[in-house]
Amino acid sequence: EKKLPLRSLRIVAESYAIKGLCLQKDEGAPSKFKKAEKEEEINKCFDLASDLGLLYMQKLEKEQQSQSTISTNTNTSGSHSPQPPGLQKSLGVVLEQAIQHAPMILLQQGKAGQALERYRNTLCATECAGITGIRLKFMCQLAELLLQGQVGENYVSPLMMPQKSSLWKPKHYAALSQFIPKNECEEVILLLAVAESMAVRNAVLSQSPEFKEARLSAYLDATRVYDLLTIATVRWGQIALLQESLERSMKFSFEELHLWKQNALSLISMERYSQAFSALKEVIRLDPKAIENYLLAAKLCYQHLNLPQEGVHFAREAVLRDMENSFGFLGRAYLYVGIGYHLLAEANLLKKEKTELRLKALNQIRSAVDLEPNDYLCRYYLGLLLALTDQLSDAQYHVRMALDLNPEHSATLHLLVLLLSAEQEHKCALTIVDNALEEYPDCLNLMYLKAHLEVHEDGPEKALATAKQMLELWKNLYEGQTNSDMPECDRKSDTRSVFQLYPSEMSDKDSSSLRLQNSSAARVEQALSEVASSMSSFSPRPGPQRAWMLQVEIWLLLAELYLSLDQPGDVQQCLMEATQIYPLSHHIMNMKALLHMHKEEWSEARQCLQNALAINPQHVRSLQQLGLVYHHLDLQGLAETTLRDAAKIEPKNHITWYNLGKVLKALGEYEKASSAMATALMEEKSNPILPFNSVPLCFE
Amino acid sequence: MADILVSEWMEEFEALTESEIHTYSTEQEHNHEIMIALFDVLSEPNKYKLEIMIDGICRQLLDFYRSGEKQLRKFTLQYVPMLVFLHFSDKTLSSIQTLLVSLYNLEIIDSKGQPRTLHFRIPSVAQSSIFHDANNLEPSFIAENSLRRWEECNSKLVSWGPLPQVECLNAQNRHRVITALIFLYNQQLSSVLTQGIEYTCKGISRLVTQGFQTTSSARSSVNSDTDSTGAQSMTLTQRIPVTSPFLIELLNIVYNAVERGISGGQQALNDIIYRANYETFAAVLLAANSIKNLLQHSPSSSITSR
Repeated sequence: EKKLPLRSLRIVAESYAIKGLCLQKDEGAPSKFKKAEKEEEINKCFDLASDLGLLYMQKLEKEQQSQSTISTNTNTSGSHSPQPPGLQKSLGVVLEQAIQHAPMILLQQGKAGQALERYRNTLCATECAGITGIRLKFMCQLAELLLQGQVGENYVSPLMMPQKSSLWKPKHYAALSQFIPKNECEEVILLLAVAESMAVRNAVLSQSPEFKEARLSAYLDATRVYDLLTIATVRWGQIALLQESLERSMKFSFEELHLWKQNALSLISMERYSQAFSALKEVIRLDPKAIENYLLAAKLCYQHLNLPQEGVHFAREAVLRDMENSFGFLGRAYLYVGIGYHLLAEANLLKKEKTELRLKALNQIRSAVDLEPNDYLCRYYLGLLLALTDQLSDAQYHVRMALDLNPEHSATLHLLVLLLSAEQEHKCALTIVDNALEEYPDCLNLMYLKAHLEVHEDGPEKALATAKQMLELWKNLYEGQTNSDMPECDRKSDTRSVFQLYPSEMSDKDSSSLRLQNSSAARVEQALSEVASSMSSFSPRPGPQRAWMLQVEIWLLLAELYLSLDQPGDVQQCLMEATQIYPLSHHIMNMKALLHMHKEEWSEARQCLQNALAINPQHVRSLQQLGLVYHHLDLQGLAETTLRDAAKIEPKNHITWYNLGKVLKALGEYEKASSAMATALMEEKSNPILPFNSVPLCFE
Repeated sequence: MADILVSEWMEEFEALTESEIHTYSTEQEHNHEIMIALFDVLSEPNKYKLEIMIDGICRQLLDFYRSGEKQLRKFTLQYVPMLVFLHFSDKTLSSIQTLLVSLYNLEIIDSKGQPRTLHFRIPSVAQSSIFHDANNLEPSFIAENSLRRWEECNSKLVSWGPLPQVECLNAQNRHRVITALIFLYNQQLSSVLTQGIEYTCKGISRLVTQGFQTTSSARSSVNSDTDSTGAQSMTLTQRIPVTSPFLIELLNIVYNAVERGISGGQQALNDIIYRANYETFAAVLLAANSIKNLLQHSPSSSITSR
């Protein structure tokens, strides 16, 4: 191995390449031993040919650079149209073939470890004009090789493979603080990130027809990189990395369905919902036949964007498309339309429209159940809608069917418990909650339900124990999340409870609440707390707000229980805790009012209730209490109107009717009072322990 | 036939003494006949009256795992997906549940008994590496994000684990435990027998399509002779609930299978895509679309045609 002049370098490289190619063609290998020997020979030839070929190109470029500075400018500035670079020598067919064959042959011989080394040797050589195409290809191939786990236990980090320098080796990349991958994952992501930077550089932006071919081939190269990057990142939850790349790809993906769709999906996975929605609309425009896109859009609208009307529109579109030619999604499409109507009904305040919407929802969901009688989700929603429209026994039948199909669905269990409590079977309901909690020991939702059932069955002391348990559970589940020092890289943090605690109307900034009728209240509170944090010393706790809201709910539950145990001091303490987390919640104000009422401080109570109602005018509980407070302040007329307002919002609430009865009695209208009381009695008989719509909205 | 082989295999193991285990283990590594027979038995529980043998098989697999022999450990691990599928199809099989829980608890700790974790750094293109020089990059790549990533490269690691030990499977932890097991299976996928992956792919197809009336074979263009048992059966078959992380791990098996040209892989891919569309799992669709697109544009891309 001695220093060769440029010309001989090429000649030597090509001769090795040709020797290798010839040996490859020669089939006649008599014995196994001979065959192995020949394989060795081929590998060595290709090895030398690759190294020398790369060295030749590097030297050639250097020489050209020193000769003229004109030709170098063309390939560094990232030309966006495929202008042929000025003067450029290519590698030649023979050498190119040899370089590409070198690792392939090793793989065919089953020597994955050696192939890995060969790939690396080529890729570590500094890039020069003429070998960019090979480099990009190799990067993808090596990434593929590693992703498929073919190397497996033979993997050696480049750290462990020091490079020997010799005159016949090409120049390698060398920098001061170089990144050297330590394991497969690091190497794959590094390769693909570098490949992406090359692919983007090669991409063609011009849409004019003469560049069509170049554009398409550059696009295909880039897509390959993105696809591999997707496979490498999704498993590890590193979608943020992927999303950044996909965003860069958008500039050359005009009207390209695949990358647009991937972009939309990655945005959904990253929880950037409103951007995802825009991207998804574009995907639907590009591919109006694919039903899954409509379903995805509808789900986004319902679950995160609070746009049920648009969601219904997309779901209906899905129904129509599936009717044209069946893809097997018709049942789901009907269900999604039904869920949309259900959400609209819940958000609607006019009784007539609400009933109409519920009827529509019911019809759609019935069609879904007819199509897919073994889908538990359809049955669950059918049960819910029937319960909301007072068909309790039918509801129970379908809920039980749902449980037969999927005995472990927590939302269905929740609904069943509510149904049983509406039939005044509290004991049975409590048993079911206990059993369900065995399957879902961390479900705060079910525990909340259990506490309420226990108040009814065994008195507040027992419920108090449950509530304290909830507080402990909260600490276990969420303390890690709210601690800002902890890295949030734990990709399997399934502690994030998917369950919603009733009545969790407050929302995070990014994940809007599912409880639609109060989303406006949540927004008011959000805005107020922003003002408060800018004006006073109050600062929101770090970490996800939803977790803190859950804690507020638990404190409020505790306060309520202490109040019924007649321990006002403890109630005060609980309220303090809750206020420190989130001072502006109307639930806290409502609870404060209850405490004042307990102490018979009527005017303070009135003040608190009016504050609560200022934030959420639809808050029935506050209206009921306010009615009572007016009653005690001897403002019977005001009391009556307030309670009638409450009855308008929730006609089935027996407490409203009972309070109204009292007020009417004080007004001396005995007949009306007795009928109100009678209504209260009647409604109480079929009243669940918590409202039916407190069950979570779920899609799986 | 297969069941006879398996019972002989169990008898043989019972007769072994301590000292023979080591030689036995090296033998087992190449005993493909037994491996395939066992796959066959586990994939068709009804045909082979599995309930009679299952306790013995599970005990032996656990004994294999705990024997301390590397080959025997691998032998057991290759059946993880099959055992998972059996567990999903019948949760009352207590021996399988016990085996899965034991494997999980043993797998999530390392040899010293500490919780096992896997870490890696996320490289940033803004930092020069053995494959490139950051000075030649286009400016859009040296944006804020890549610089931030460079800064965090050594401090903010992507990690898997540590996972908590479990006592038993319940509705809350079932999918988490099983996803972790499949993840660990994926770590050593390259050493699994090709036929084993074929059985696994068929198992995946069955798992995700069970309880769906429209037969998946009618939709997909690929040969449908692989799956004809589960799909057309009566309408009220239970569906098996799946989660997004679980399907993503299964996709990794399928990706490996299609790239290795294993039959059943393509079908399993289509079935997973159908199910992910049905359940609107965005992350699963993301990965599945990529695999599908890779296959479409470079059918010969599999650099290894083994």
